[in-house]
Amino acid sequence: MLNTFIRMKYAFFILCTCILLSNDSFAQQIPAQEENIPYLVTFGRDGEKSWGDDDFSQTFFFVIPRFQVQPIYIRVFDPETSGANDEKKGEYNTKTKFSIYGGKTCFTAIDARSNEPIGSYKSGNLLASKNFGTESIYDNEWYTFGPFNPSEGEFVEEYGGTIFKIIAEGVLGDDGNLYRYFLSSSPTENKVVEGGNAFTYEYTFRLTDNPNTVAHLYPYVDEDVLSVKISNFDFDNDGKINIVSIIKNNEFSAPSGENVWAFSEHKIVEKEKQTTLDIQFIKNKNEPMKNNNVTLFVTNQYGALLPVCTVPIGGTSNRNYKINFKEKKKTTPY
Amino acid sequence: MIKKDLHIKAIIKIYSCVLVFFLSSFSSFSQAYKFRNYGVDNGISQPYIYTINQDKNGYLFVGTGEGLCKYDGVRFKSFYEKDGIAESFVTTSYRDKSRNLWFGHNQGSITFYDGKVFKSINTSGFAKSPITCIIEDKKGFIWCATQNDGVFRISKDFEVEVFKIEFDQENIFAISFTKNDQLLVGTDEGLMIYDLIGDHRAPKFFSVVDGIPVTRIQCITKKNNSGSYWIGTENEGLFLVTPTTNPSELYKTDEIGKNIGIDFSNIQDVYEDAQSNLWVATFGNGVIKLLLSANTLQYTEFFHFTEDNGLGNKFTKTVYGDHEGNIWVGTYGSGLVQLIDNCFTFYSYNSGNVSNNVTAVWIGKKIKWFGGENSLVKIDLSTKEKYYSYSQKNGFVDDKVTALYQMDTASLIIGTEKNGIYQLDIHKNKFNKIELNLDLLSNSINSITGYDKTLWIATKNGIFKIEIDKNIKTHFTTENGLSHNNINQVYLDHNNVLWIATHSNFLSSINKHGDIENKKIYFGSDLINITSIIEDKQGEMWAATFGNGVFNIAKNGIIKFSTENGLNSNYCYSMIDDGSNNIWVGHRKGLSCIKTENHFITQFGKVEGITGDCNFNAAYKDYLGNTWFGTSAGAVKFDPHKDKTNIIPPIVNVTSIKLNDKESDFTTDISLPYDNYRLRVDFIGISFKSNSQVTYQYKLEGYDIAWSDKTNNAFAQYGKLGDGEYKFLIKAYNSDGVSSTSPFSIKILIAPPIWKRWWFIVLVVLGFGYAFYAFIKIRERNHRVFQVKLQKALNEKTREVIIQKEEIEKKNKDITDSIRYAKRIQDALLPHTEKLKRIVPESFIFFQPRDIVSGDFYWFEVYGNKLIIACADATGHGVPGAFMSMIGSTLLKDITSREDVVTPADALEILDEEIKLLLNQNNVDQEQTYDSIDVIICEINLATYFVKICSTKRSVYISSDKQLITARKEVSDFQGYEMREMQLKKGDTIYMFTDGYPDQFGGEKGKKIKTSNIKLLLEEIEALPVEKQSMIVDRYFNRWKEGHDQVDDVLFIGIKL
Repeated sequence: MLNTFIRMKYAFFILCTCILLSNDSFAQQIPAQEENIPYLVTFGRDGEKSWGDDDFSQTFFFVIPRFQVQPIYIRVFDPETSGANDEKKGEYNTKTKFSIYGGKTCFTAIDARSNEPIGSYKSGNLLASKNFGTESIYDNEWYTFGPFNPSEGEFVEEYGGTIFKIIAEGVLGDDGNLYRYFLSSSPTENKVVEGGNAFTYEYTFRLTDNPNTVAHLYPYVDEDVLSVKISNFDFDNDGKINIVSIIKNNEFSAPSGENVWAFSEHKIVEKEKQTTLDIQFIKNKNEPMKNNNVTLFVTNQYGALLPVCTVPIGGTSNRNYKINFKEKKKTTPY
Repeated sequence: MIKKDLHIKAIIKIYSCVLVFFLSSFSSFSQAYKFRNYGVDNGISQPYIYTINQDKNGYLFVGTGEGLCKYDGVRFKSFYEKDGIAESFVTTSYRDKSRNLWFGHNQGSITFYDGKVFKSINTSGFAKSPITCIIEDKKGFIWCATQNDGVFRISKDFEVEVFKIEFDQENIFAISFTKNDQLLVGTDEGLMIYDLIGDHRAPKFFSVVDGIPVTRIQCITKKNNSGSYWIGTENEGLFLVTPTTNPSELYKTDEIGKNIGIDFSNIQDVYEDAQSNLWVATFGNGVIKLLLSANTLQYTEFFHFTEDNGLGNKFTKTVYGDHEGNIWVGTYGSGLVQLIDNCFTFYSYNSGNVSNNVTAVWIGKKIKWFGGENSLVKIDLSTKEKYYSYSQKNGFVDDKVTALYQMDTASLIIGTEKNGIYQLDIHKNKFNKIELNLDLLSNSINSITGYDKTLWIATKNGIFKIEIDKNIKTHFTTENGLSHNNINQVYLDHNNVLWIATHSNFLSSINKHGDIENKKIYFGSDLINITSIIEDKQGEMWAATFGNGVFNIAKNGIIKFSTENGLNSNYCYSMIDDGSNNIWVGHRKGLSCIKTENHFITQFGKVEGITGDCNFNAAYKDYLGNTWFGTSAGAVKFDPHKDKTNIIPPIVNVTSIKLNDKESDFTTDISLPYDNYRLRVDFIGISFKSNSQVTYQYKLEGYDIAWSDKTNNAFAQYGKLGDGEYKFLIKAYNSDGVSSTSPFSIKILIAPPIWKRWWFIVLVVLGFGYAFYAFIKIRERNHRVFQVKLQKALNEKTREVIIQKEEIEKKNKDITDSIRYAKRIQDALLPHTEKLKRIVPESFIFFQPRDIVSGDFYWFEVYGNKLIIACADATGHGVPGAFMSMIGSTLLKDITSREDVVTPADALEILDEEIKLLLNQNNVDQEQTYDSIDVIICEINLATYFVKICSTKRSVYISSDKQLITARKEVSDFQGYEMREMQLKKGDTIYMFTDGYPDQFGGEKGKKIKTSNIKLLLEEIEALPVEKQSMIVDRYFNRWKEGHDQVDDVLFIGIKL
């Protein structure tokens, strides 16, 4: 009898698990499963940059294909800053504001595609926003923004659809908010938006604590790129940054130390064009850092940022979009 | 072990909870309101609806993320940038005081629509973010709020003034003017108050409305007839903001709907209807209708329209009430939704365990009872529409429940199809079977009614009367006088008389004493099947039949209702009086409603959402006056309080005018050149309440004499329109027969042809006048020419005539001269009258030839004392007469000179012979002439006055002694000539004359003188002197002749002895 109940119990939980894991629940998650990056991270504005977040703000873009007519949802996992997952600095006192923008210039404004939250980086129409503090109901849970009419994004012909922007800002406090995104076609579950796309120009993320796990970032190299400069911040010399391409291997990028930027420039040859680089963060196996947060962006020979596409991983996020190669001022400290 | 048991108990508890969760989740008896959903398939350009508005022509405008759609009740027409709107993405709309529409777009532009054309207002220089709100101030300026670019206002001349820096990069989502001329601004950080400064009314931040949470304000809606505002927030629910006179608290804020679960709702839009009910569109919670309590003026009751009860989407962006009071909902992703007549509410089980075939209904104040195919369902109102089902498992039977009757709060009587009746103890949930008879038919229950502790049960085997408290059972069958044993229904009227519906042409009843009475209501040869009987408020009985419609046994006769006069069907399954003078009749897939006041019948069916078949006598009127019907697709509730006549007439619009199959612009009156036109006018009467039941009448003034019959066809055609002024008039009637008082009209002017135009007529008249004038002139000219020509010819002829005349005159003169010469000869031949005067002084000769020469002649000669005188008249006159006279006178001279001629008779005889001889009158071989001479020969002896007179045909008159003697011709035996011998005396007068004198025409009457007149003349003048006589004879003759031609030569001789 007992065994029967135990079996039923397990069967029930297995069923629930199956339900939860169904519907490609990890297929369009940001960070992508393939990146081996557990969370995005944004600290409260009172936090220390040495904790890994250089600007307490993170911007992501979502591309919705033009054939998508059903509403889309942007889901945030664990948007609050307390309880599970988040990085506590003293008492939890952090508020993170998630804002979703659409409409004209939400993507095409130059400041929107910067690695620094300055100027009109909040360009476009504010479609939804919400401040998350320490509400336990959102702890380790998904919060859904939307629905959004795909038409409310900024239509960019080169991308073949409309683009939405989500900005996570640590508006209060000093704790680190660790979260994930999911571009979904359902408000209640993570259901892939077919043909959906997500990318960023500056990636602030948490590395896994497991020294055997290698994090992969996949910036896309288009046909105009002659060289790339990989900039990383606050890697804490936690290992090495290896660049792999179809012709490169063991070409290392300079790892940053505590609270500093490091950068290295790498030539791109013809064969590497229109491919993705695989930037690997390989932790020290001896004394791996814990709760290591890193910021990274990649620029080309003109200093223009290259998108780091997470969905589809390493995909051609820019499709046919031509980056404005106008020389831009560096906003990094080097 | 104990630990293990606890563990097992915990698992059981969890399981139980899960089971309860699942069961409770799927066991609601949900209300479903009927909606009309319009999506992309219906023509909407995109299923994301941002705004809804109605223009002055009645069209509904639906703003989507990809086009602006116009709806006329039948079809949608989409407008894009190419059609004149500023952007395809429409975010908001506003109808100004002049009923023009303003549309705000996603990139900050504005479109103005005056009911005819779109006007795009370019705002690209200052607004790039979405227009979130449009309002109008008192001066008619249109104020537009943008999300990121402040506010701008548009004048009536479309001049734009921008207020951007005043808002310091605020995200603005709603604005509204307050009564004290401030601007309420809804931002993403709460509700702000702005002052309006100066002539330009530039907004200046004044304060924050403290009571409103610091969150995004989605909408600000003015509360009807007050200075308050409904404030919808993104995640803090709905607030009512009311201005106060307290300077420390400018606005009082009340959170609305906290107790009904909308306190954290994402409010997108608020609409307050004419009854002050609130319609709240939410993101995530559908539409919530808050009903204002008339007693408390609080919003205590609410309806929740969600996906579960038919709305289709819980994300709603906007809610709008049109001119008829229809509620429209714009959903976010599921298109446009119209909440149709909410008089009907539909209930069904959302679980597959219980059939939705509702076969019996009883609605109590606390519990609703529904009988079904194999179960009895209890819905305790305290459990919020959760139901409890009874079947064989919990003491009931698996049988169709056919009748329900709640005796009191504790006892429900249940009739079944095969198992008789049961009594349910409501409190104990325990069933007791009430035994009737053992036979199957007695246990097949059709209907139950009763009063106090008395039950009346209609079965297929008669009626049972059960007095429960006395435990008495009475069975009525055909043996007791019933018409039939299969009793469809039993009904108690207000006097507790039991009425029996059965197979019968009689309406049967059982009075208090148990006597059965029958009243014939059907007089046909066939048998009718009465299925239901009711009594209306006026005490009149109604009987519904299966196949023969409905009979109203009125005080003044029986009135029959059938499909012929509007009944949905003649097959009636149930009937109920709703207490509002409506008799409701249930049919398959529909209902009929007969108004008892005017017998007007309205049908309800699929359009109203009724999709099931009504079940036999599954109808009930609850204590609130609602009418319930059990159907094969659940229960239907009709709320008569919501049933109001639609007094709003349809708004009529012409949608197309085709002339000779070509589209014509009809925004203004139509003017056309002359032709014969085929006309087709398409029109529409917009009544969103029931557009399919809009009917039309039309008339073309100038062509039609009277209005057309009512028709559903929304077009009119005319074959051949000639010139003239026409006015096309249209009346549209809504489903309640209401039309606007003044018909819609459009003028069509077809110009007259050229020949009917005034200037043409004037020209033609002038032309004709000119032509006539010219004709006259030409004619005159031709006349003149002709006259000249004639004159010329005349002159020519005249000249010719003159010449001829001259010739004739010459010839005449010659002839005349010749004749005159002949006259001279004749005169020479004739003896001179002077000679006679010398012989006989008293004598006269009046000799007047007709022509120059004369046929008459005289001759005389004296031989001794004998005077021989002849008065002769030769035949003819003129020259021939003259010839004869010459012959005669010559012959006479010769003859008288002969010695053998002794008497005048001899002379005459010889003369005769001589003339014949001379003129060869005796020669028969020659051409005969008949010329002769009449002669009087008178021989007067001058001495003795003895007179011998011989005459041929002529008489001689002698005046003697004052007597006039006529000496007539006397024919001698041998000579043949007259001769008279007379002795006259001196003084006697002899008169001789030729026939020229008496034969002359004239006188007053144009007659001859005749001999008689001569005789009278002679008698008058005989006494006169001869000269005088001569003058009178002459004058008499010529006076007589006056005015007439002389007919013959005249010779008159008078000799006085």
